[in-house]
Amino acid sequence: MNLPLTRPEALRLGGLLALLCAALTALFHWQPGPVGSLSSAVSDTYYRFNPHTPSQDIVFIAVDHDAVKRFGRWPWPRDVIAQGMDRLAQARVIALDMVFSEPTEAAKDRALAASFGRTTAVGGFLLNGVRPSQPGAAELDRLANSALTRVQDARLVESRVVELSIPEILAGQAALASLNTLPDHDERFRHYPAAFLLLGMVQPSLGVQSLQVFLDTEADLNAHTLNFAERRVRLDERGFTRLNFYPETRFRLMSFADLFAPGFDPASLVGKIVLLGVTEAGVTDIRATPLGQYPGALLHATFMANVLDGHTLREIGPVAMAGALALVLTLVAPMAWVRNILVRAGLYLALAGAAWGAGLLLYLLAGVWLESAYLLAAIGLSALLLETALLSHSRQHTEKLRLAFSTYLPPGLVSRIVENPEQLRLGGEKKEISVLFSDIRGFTSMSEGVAPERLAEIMARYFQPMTEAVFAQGGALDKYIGDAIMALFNAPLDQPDHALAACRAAVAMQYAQRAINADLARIGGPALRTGIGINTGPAIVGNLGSSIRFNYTAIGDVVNLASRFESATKKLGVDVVIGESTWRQVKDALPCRPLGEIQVAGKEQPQTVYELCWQDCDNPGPGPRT
Amino acid sequence: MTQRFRSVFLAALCLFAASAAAQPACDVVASITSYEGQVSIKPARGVLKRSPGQAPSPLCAGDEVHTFAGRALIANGRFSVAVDRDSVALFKGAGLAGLAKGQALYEVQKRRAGQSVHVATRLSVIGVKGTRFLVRDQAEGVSVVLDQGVVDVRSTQGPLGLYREKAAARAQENDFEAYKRQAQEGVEREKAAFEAYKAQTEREFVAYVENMTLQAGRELAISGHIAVERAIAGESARQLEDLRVWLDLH
Repeated sequence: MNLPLTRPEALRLGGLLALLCAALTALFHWQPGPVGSLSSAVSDTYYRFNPHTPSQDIVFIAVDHDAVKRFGRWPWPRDVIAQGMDRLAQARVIALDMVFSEPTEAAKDRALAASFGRTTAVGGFLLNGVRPSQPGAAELDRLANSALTRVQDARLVESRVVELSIPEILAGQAALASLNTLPDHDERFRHYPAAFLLLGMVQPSLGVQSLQVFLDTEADLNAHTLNFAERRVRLDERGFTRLNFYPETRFRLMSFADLFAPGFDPASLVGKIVLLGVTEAGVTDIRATPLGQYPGALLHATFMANVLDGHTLREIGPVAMAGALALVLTLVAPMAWVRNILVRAGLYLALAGAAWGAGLLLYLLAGVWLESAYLLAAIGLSALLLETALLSHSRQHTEKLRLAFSTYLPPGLVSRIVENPEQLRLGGEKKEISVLFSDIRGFTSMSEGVAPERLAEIMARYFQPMTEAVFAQGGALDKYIGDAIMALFNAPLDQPDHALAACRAAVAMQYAQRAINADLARIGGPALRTGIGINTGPAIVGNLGSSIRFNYTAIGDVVNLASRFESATKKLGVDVVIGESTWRQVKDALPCRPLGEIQVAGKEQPQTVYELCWQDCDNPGPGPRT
Repeated sequence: MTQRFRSVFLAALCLFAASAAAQPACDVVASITSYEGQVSIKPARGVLKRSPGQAPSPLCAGDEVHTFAGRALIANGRFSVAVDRDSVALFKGAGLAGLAKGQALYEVQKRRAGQSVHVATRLSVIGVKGTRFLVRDQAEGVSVVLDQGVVDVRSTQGPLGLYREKAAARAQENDFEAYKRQAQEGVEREKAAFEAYKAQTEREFVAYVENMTLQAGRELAISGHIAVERAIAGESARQLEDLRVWLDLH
């Protein structure tokens, strides 16, 4: 059970939550390696829900296991590839995810170059490849013809060396493009580069170059977007875009061997983008992606499909993330007022689920990529802060309760209050209580003839057993007033038989008086006699002081009457006087004797009172009879 | 001047020869008569660029000449254009050229009736009456630097506020350029200092205009809806001289 926080505690918690928001936003902005990997591990789950199918205008021809079985181990003789290229000639563009960087037999190289010349083939090159070199003049001309020129303020990854196909093959290719992709910190491939900067030229990636040819549209590249006319791809600060992955099986896939199958119809590829790549195990063009191991060539296909079908993604920036974090933290803060920790835990989990679900919905409905891991971290960390604040508050509150009530209540009751503070309503409540007043008769005259030190010793011997008698019946010591004791029953904790308990306490006090007198006699002290008044009725009880002084007490007519009844004991010649409302509740359990009606100060109507016969009702003392 | 007339004559001859020899299936509007480094031609139809090959290389209407680490000299009977590095020059017709990016030096022969030449930029159209001028398209705007003759500049952005820099300001700019040459600071700091300087340059407002006539020795810099006219100096003068030398050599 936790109570709402105090204002300073709430302000401190609010400050910590604001700091948390700023810290997570900064982390999101800079994304140090492990943090980026952790956040990606959460958001990668969204791809499993991608409902889309990639464009069927993209056909992936794979050098796969079947093709290797038919034509032998890769790399194949180039005339074999040339024969395949001729079967692809009706495609609108052939994107080659391969580099022919070493010469083989001249005739076969020429055959392949010639086959490229009969098609519209976009050839690949590798920046910083295995066999990089400085391009010669002819190669630079080929690179210049392939470069993007509608470029403004683009920030791109730069390279100075490149692995190109041999010049003869380059000459047959319609355009060139980079095959490079770069993994994220956790070595998974999630982003696709629009272009790279090579020798002062902006060289497009294979997907970009192939789309330019396929769409017959020049790409416009700037610092934030890559545009194919109306088609817009948003880029990060490196010129990369987040790919929207499809399951591999949804692509239109063919084995290279299928090109030579009897049923193959070259016309089936009319107007298509054909992507030629290697998937055969043992050739290392396999990439780790959020959907598992993926042929590297399909990264190019995924990018092209994203653009063609409008499935590109927009990653939210730091400002939007700060807003989302602020919203989540704003939702966490009110949980301080939820008292049950299990309910709070359930709400934390529900909020975390909602944050993840919001990310999924944004992805599915709007193509917006939200790294929900940061929101989950915000929820987790803010819950930790909140629970710590509540625990601290609870401990302080417990200590405060213990300090406040340990002087009023027996230790057992203090523990009950600390453990179940919900039973205690501070600030005042109206309830029926029984009030006990006791006073030493003749105390003033007795004290005049006794030295102060001796009087203090006598009072110490008196109050200790008297207070214990109250505590023993579950009563609360309200206060000592000189030689008088005021005790409450049924407050602060509920006590169903409070009237009976008050009377029993009065009886116990009278017996304690005997023991006190015997004790005092041994030290030559005077015999004391205590008058007790008890009344039952409604009163306002609670913390009626201030935050500076915590004073639990009761006020009301019932308190005044109890005091008057105590005063009446001397006049009535009895030890314990109880009011009528008390008598009604104890008459069946305790011996009582009616004392008739008495007139008390401040009351117009006379009050009916009874004597609680704590020793012998058959031998009544002096006083009125009813 | 003799050398310039000779180059124009040669360009016309090359254009004729290229048209006759290559017989391209298009309306040939100019040809690349000389180039160095990486130069590509993007045809009007299609996105695949090609190399110019052996000069002269004919250009069809709508073709674009892209230069990278290279420069190209293009000519037809009416004008010669020296396209500088990292530039894109357009040729939409015999008398209609353009500059999409970078800078180019245009040299236009005195026109005969019905043979006007216009150079389109992203912010203006320059009507030429027989002259030599440099067009620079940079991130901050487009400048027309007039070496000889007279050109009319028409804004394609609507009326512009025309300002004229005072002579005192020019002196300050020269001082600044001198400082800039000597400075060893990084490029970014230079840019920042120049921007600060420009903000302090004294200008006087002339008028809101859509058409302007620029005289020889003057430069018109258009940025947004502001055009500033001033004497040629600094970087513009150096670029103009650099391309003029290269043009004369070819």
